[in-house]
Amino acid sequence: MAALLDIRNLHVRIPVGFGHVHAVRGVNLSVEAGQTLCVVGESGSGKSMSALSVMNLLPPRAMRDADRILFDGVDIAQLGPRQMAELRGNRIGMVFQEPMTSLNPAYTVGNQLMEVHRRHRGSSRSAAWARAAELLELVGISNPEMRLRQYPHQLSGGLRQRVMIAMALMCEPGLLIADEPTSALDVTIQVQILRLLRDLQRRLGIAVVLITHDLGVVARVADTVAIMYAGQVVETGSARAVFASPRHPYTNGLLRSMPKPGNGRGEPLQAIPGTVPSLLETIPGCAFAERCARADEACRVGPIATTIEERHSFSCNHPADIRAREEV
Amino acid sequence: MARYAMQRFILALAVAVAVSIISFAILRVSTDLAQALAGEAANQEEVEQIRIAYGLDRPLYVQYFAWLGDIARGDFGESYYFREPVAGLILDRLPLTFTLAGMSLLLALIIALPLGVLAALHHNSWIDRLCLGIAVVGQAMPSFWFALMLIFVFAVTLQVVPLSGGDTWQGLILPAVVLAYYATPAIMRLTRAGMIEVLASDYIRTARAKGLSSASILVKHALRNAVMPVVALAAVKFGFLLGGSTIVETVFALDGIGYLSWESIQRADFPVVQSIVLLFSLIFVFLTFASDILNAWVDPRVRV
Amino acid sequence: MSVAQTHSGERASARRLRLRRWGQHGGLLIGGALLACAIVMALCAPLLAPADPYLQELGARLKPPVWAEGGSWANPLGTDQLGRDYLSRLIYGSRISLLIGLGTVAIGGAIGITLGLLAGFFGGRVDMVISFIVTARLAMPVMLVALAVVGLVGSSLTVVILVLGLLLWDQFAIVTRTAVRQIRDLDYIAAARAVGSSTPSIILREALPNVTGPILVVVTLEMAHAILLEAALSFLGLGVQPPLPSWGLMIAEGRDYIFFTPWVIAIPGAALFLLVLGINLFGDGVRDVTAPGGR
Repeated sequence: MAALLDIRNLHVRIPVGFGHVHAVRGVNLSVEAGQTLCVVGESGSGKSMSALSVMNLLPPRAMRDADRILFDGVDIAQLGPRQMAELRGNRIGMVFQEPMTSLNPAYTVGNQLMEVHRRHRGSSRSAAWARAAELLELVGISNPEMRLRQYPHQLSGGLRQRVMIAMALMCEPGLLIADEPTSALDVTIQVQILRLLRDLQRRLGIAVVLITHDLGVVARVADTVAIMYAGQVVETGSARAVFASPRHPYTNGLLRSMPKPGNGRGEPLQAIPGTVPSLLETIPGCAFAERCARADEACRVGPIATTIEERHSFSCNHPADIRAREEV
Repeated sequence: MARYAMQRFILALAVAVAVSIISFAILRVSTDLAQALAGEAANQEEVEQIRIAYGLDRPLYVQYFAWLGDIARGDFGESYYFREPVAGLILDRLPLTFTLAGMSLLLALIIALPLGVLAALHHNSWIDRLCLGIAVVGQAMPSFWFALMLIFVFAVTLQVVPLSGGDTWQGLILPAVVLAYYATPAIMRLTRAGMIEVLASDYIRTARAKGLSSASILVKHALRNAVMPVVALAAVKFGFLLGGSTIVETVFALDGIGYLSWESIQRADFPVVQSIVLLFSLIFVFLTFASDILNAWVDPRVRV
Repeated sequence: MSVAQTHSGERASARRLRLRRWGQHGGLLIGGALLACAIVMALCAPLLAPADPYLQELGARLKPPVWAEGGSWANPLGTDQLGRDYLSRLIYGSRISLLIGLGTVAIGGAIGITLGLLAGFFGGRVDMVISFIVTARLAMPVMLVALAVVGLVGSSLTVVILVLGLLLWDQFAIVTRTAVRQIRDLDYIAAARAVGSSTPSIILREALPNVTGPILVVVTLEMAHAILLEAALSFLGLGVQPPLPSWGLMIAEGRDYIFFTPWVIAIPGAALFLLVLGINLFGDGVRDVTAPGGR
C-alpha cells in the first residue's frame, strides 16, 4: 500500500547571526492513509519543524530542502505558493499547540470556521454555516449554533482546541497534522482531546500525524512511531515493535524516563544525562554519542549504521538487543 | 460596553474639569493682567481701576467659577483687543484650522499606513530601513524650518503654489504637508510595530494553515487587528495637529485659530488665549474618549 | 568547572557581548558622534569660534558663506543681517540648545521620576491620583501652553527652561511607573523588605537602578523635544530673546531674507536638525541595546 504522505531526506536550516541552525537533518517519514503516526522528541528535536515543512508554514527565513515530499502521489515540495494554499485547510488540516492564541480575536468562531469552507468549496454562507455547526457537533461541542456566534475569548482552552480541530476538518482532509495539540491544556482536558482525535481518526478514516513529546500520548493512539533526536529520526517502526523492544539507546532512555502507570512508586524516573548538542555545528557521527553509555570513538566520527527490519528501523552502531528493556 | 463607556465618560469629564482649572490657574498667575491691560505707562491708580473694572480683584477661585459659569452659558468672554465676543472670533477661524488639521491627518494616514504595512511585510529589508529613515528624519526636522524650506523651494523658486494665505485650497497644500510630515512618523511606526506583531501571531499562522489567500490573510486577519491602535493614535494626533497649527499658521500667515492664539498671546488678550487653550484641551479630551470608545467597539473582548 | 566559575564566566561573556552590541549599533554610533560634536562645540565655544558672536559689523552684513560666490574664509559661514559672524553664532548657539535640553530634562525628570516611583511603588489610590494628573497633563497642548505662559510671564532663557521642564515630565512618570510596577513584585524587592529595609530606601536603592535604561531613553527623547520646542518658541519671538544666538531665533531673524540669502535659514536649521537627529538616534540605539534580548 502506497503511503499517503512520504517525506524523503528533509532538511530545514534557519539562519541565525552568521551561521545556520540545522534544525532538521535528513528526515524520512511516511504515513499510510487512515493511520496515526506519532513523531516523538524533546523540544528542539526538529519534530515541529518537520510538521511545518509539510504545510510549508516554516518561519519566514527558514530554508526547506527535501528529495521529495509526496502527498497522495504529488510531490508538494515542488508546488508553488498558490497550489500549496489550495492544499492547506482543504486536503491537509493542521492543529497547533496554542489554542488560546491560534484563533483571531476579532472574528466569531462561526466566521473563522466558515471561511475555510467558503474558500475551498466555494459554498454559500448558509451551507458553510450548516457545515460549521455540523463540525462543532462532531468535535463534541454542545449547542453549536450558540458557539458559532461567540468570539474566541468567550471559550475555554479545551473548547478552542475543539474549534481548531473542527476548523482543520471542515473540508474533509485526508491528513490531519496535530502539533502538540494537548501540551497547553489541563491534564483532564488533554485526555478528552486525545480521545476525540483518536475517535475522529477512526470514524473519518483520516491519517493523523501527531507531534508530541509525551510518550504516554503515543502509547494511546499511535500506529507507527518516529523518535526524533537532534533533527534526525533515530528509530521508527510500528508502535508495538518500538515499545516492545526499543533498539536505540535514546528511545530506551525516553521510555525509562516515562512514569509507568501502575507502579509509579517502584523504580525512580531516570533522566537522560547530558544535554542536547548544538545544531549550529555539523555533527559528523551520532548526535546522541555524548550522552550514550554505549558510544565509542566510531560513534563520534561516524558513519552510523542504519538497520532496516520489517516494520522497524533504527540508526545505531550498538543497538540494544531485542527485549533489552526487560533486562534493565 | 455601556458601563465601560460610562466609566470613560466620567474620566473624560474629570480630566476636562482638571484641565480647565490648571490652565486657568497657570495663565492667571503668569502675569498681572491689570498691569498688562493698562500698559507700561499707566500709574498705580489706573491699574487698580482696571483691576476692579475687569473683576480681577476677586479671589482666583471666584474668578474661575464666574468664568466657568459664563462658559456653561456659552459666553467665552470678550476679547480685550477686538472688543468682540471670543466665541465669534474662534468660530470664524475654526473651519480653516479644522480643514488644515483634517487635510494633514488624511495625508499623514495616506502616507503612513501603506508604508508602515510595507515595512512590516518586508521586515528588515531596504524598504523597512527607508521607512525607518523617513520616521527618524521626520521626528528631527523642526516644523517651522521645514515650512520655510518648502516655501523657499515651491513658492519662491518653483512658484507652483501661492506664497501664503488660506483663500484658495492651493494655499493649504504646503501647510498641510508640513503638519502631515510632523504626524507621519508616529503613525508609521505604530502601524509597522502593530503589523509585525500581528504577522508573527499564531492566528495568522492558522489563517495560512487554512489555505486562505494572501490578500485575505493580510486584509481580513492582519490589518484589522494591527490598525486598531492606529485609529486611537490618529484621533489623538488630530489634537496634536491642532496644537501644531500655531506654528504652521504663523509661518504661512493663515488666519486660523493657531495664528489668533499667537497674536493674542503677544497682545495679552487673556480671554482669547484662555478660551483657545481650553478649547484645544477639550477637543483633545473628547478625541481620546472617542477613540477609547471606538477601540472598544471594534474589539469584541471589550464590546461584549 | 565549578558552578560559580561557570556563572562568572557567563557574566563576563555577557558583558563582552553587551559591549560589542554597543559598538556595532550604527545608529547609536552616529547619534553619539553627533551629540559629542554638539557637546564639544558648546564646551569649547570660545576656542572654536573665530569671532565674537555678538560683534556687529554693519559694513559686512549678510556676507555669503565661503563656498558661495563672494564668500571668504574670514566668515566661513558668512554673516547675518547685523554683520555678526554666522559660524561663531552657530557655535555659541549649541550652548543654548544643550542648556535648554539638559535643564528641561533635569526639571521634568525630577518631577516625573518622583511621581512615577510613587505611583509604581504604592499603587492603589496614589497610583490613581498620579495617573489622573498625567492624563490631565497629556490633554493640555504643550506648544500652546508654553507659548502662552512664556508670552505672559515674559520671555527669557530661564523662563523657557522652567516652563518646558514643568510641562515635559509626563513620559518620565509613565516609564518609571511601568518599570517600577514590573519589578515591584520581583523576589529581591520582597527580600529587601524581609530584611527590614524601610519602603523609601527600598525604592531608592533597589528600584531606581533598574529603571535607568528606560529613563535614559526618555531623557534623550525629551531633550530632543525640548530643543525643538525652544527653537519654535524663539522662532515665534516668545522664547530666547536677542541678541542670544538661539538657533530658532537665528532662523526667525533670517526669515525676511529668505528670498535673497536662503542660507541664513538653512544653516541654523540644519544644525538643529542634526543635533535632534543625533539625540534621537542615540536614544533609539540605547533602547535597542538595553532592551532585554537586544534586537
